[in-house]
Amino acid sequence: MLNKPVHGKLAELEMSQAKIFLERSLESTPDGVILFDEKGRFSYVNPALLNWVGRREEDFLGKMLTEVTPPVLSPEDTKMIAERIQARIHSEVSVTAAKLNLIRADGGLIPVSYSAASVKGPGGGVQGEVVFLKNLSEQIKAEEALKKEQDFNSVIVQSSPVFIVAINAEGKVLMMNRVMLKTLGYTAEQINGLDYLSNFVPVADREMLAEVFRQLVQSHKPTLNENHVLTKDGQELLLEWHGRPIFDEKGNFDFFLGLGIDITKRKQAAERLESTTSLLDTIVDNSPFAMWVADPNGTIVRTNHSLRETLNLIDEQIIGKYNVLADTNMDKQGVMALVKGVFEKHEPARFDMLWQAEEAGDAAFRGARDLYIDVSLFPILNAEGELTQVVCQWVDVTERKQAAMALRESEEKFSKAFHTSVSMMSIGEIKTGRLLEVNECFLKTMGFKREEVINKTTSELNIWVDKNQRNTIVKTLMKNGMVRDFEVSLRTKNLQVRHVLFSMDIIKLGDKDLALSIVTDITERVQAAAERERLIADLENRTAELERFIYTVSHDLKSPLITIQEFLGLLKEDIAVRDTEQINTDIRFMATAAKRMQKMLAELLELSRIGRLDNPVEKISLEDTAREATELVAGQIRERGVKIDIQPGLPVVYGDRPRLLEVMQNLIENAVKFMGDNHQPRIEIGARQDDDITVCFVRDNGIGIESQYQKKIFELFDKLDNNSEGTGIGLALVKRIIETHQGRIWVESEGNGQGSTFCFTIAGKEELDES
Amino acid sequence: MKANGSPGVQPEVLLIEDDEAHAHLVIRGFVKQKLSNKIRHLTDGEMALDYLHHRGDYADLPANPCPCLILLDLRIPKVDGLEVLREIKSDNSLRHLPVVILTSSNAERDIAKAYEYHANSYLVKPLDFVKFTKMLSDLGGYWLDWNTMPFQSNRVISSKADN
Repeated sequence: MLNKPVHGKLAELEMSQAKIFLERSLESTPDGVILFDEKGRFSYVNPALLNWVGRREEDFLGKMLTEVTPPVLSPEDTKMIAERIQARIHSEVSVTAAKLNLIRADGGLIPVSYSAASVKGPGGGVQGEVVFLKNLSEQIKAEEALKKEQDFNSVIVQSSPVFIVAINAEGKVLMMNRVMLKTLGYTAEQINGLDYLSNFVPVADREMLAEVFRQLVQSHKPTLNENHVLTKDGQELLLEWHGRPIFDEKGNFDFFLGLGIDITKRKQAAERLESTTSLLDTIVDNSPFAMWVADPNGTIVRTNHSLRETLNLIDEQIIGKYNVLADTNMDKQGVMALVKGVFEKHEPARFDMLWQAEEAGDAAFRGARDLYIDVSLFPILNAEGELTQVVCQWVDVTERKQAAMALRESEEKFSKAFHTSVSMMSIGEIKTGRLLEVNECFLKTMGFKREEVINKTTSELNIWVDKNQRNTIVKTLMKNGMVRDFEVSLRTKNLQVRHVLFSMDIIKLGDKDLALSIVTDITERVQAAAERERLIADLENRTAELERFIYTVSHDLKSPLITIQEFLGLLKEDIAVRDTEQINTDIRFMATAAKRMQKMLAELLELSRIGRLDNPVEKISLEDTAREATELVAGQIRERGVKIDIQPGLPVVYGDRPRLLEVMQNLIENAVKFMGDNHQPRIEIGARQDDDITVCFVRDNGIGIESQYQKKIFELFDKLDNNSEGTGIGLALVKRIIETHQGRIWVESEGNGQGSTFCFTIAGKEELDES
Repeated sequence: MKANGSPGVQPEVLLIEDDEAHAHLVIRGFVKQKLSNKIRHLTDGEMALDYLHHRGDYADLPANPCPCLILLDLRIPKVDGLEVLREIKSDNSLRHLPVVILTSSNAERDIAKAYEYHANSYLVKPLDFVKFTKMLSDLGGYWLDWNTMPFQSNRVISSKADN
């Protein structure tokens, strides 16, 4: 607030107008304005300044600069400005100009220029101070950006590998960049103001270049030309120049700017090749692999240590003597085209080959050993794309190759063993159960084609007769890692069953678990064993029968002999005493014994004939046979008054007609014989179905047979009733006949007085044919 | 004369023989030694066992008393002679009875089996008449005169003293 000067009304009015004007100006200026009062306290801060420092008016008004919190100036600046304000109040200093940093509320700095002046009252005394602050932030930023840009340009110009030169209208050098100075051998001071053409251009190029400059000035267009420049020590460099005229703001020619690229290519290429060659030499010499370098004609010009060692030769024996294009090994191994390709088409090549010293085309190689080598050939080209050398690298793979060959040989052996084995062999994947390989024997035995089997599981092929056997094998394999000689049955493609011994092992192939199965077909063996068992059982039966026969003969045939002998003795005595009654008894016993003996002998003879089919097998109706048999024993039937009932349904069988007639006759006779005292004797002959089997029977209502004797009656010479006239051979005979017809005979009876049913079966035609 | 001893008469000998002629021969031999009334003839193994166990037709003990000698043929119907022997010898109450096998079989198997089942004697019927007669007379004399049975020892001794 300005103090009121002591003037008239007009003066007051003028003052208030001036005050409004001043306040408006202060409010709208982009610069910062501060008023301090006569004591040095803030009496006004304009909005621009408040905005810069992010504070409010009340942070300042009425306060000394040192009282502003947080401080708006650094402590040093605060002290300096506060002292100046005090000095001015005491009229010691009039004006202050400084550059300061204001501290914003957020701690940021605002660079400002500070200028202050004291405000004097009408009386000439100091009434306060006015401060103008100019924000320098934008200005400083712009200055920094400019400097950066200048530095950047300078760096580019100075560090560019491109030659840069500026030449004024008079042809004097204004500037050369570092690369150009260095290459030409000058310092920046030495070239300043020198005439360019006469100092830096060889005489031969001067006229041409002068013309280029003229064109640049006239056409205002950039130029492109090649000319030589001279170094300080007189050497010439060929450069490609990009010329450009530079004009000032008014459009007048200012200076030429030339950008030059060193195109001394040939020399550079030569240098590059030289360094490449020495690098190559180093690589070749130190490579652990045998290497040689050939010239474009294929002749070896260089070898390395490893090659010499591999071949056991020295350089004199190889260099200039061996020519790869003349090596007949290459022809023999069919790789010459590849080798020629390296030399002619510059295509790198790589191949395996057997390299034999004998074939290498030079006597010196004769002592070298033969090698399996992995050969790499690559061309070395110069900058023009011309072949300068061919580098060859040999890796001796003899041992690897021999190992591979040994492996292949053993694989072949295994493969041969696998495929020619007389056991069935297969390899399958454990995880999936799929067959990966099977041998010929497998295919032949199982009746499959290879393509039907590979990649299928054995379950898919339906070869397991009993799935449980497969499961047992798998379980055992998982548990023990192998299976040995499991006896199982497999089904072939045409549904034949083969008995096999199954063995299995787990083999590892890479990361896969595979199962190798070895299966031996023992079907024939099993059949033979079964046949042998059958023959043995048969023989045992025969032997047992024979033993029993011999035994019974020793007893049963002896009995009537004893009878005859003893009664003959008694007869003599009885005749001596003329005991007629005894004589008759004696003779009767002897006669009975003789008759019995005769019958037994006849039947034994009969029995001995059975055991083979004597007569041709023919179709026989058992019903007809039953009738025929009934007629044969008609006398006995009539005598005993037995009623015979032949029921329908008796089967037609294949067999030995006379023998089967004997069976019927024996069974009917037997039934009649053991009728007992039944008043209505009756015999039924018929057939019934037991499951799928036709059972023929001869049933009587006679005395019956108790269960414990039902087996015994079929044994030779066994009879239950000593009063019967039988010899104990009849039923044994029947049994033998039935058995030769692959049948079975048995008796069913509830016991004494309950009647008996003699049952028998006869095999079908096929079964009979088989035997 | 009849082969079968009549009930009520005390039998000394049980003859088990299916061959009528052979039974006749034995009985006639015993007649000569005045032993015929002491013979009881049975024709098969089942009858023999029923008799000895007092079963079925032979349940009446006084009429069918325990014998003091058994003459046993091997090849007899129904229950085989060796089986009859085995049963007698495995029965505590019958085991003591002397069993003489009287057979036409001289098969080694039969002889071995008979002794295995504890037969007291094994006699093969001779083909010769004189030998047959002699054997029967010796048999009767030995087993019925000389041999002493456990439960009749007193009586037998006194009877011997009488002779």
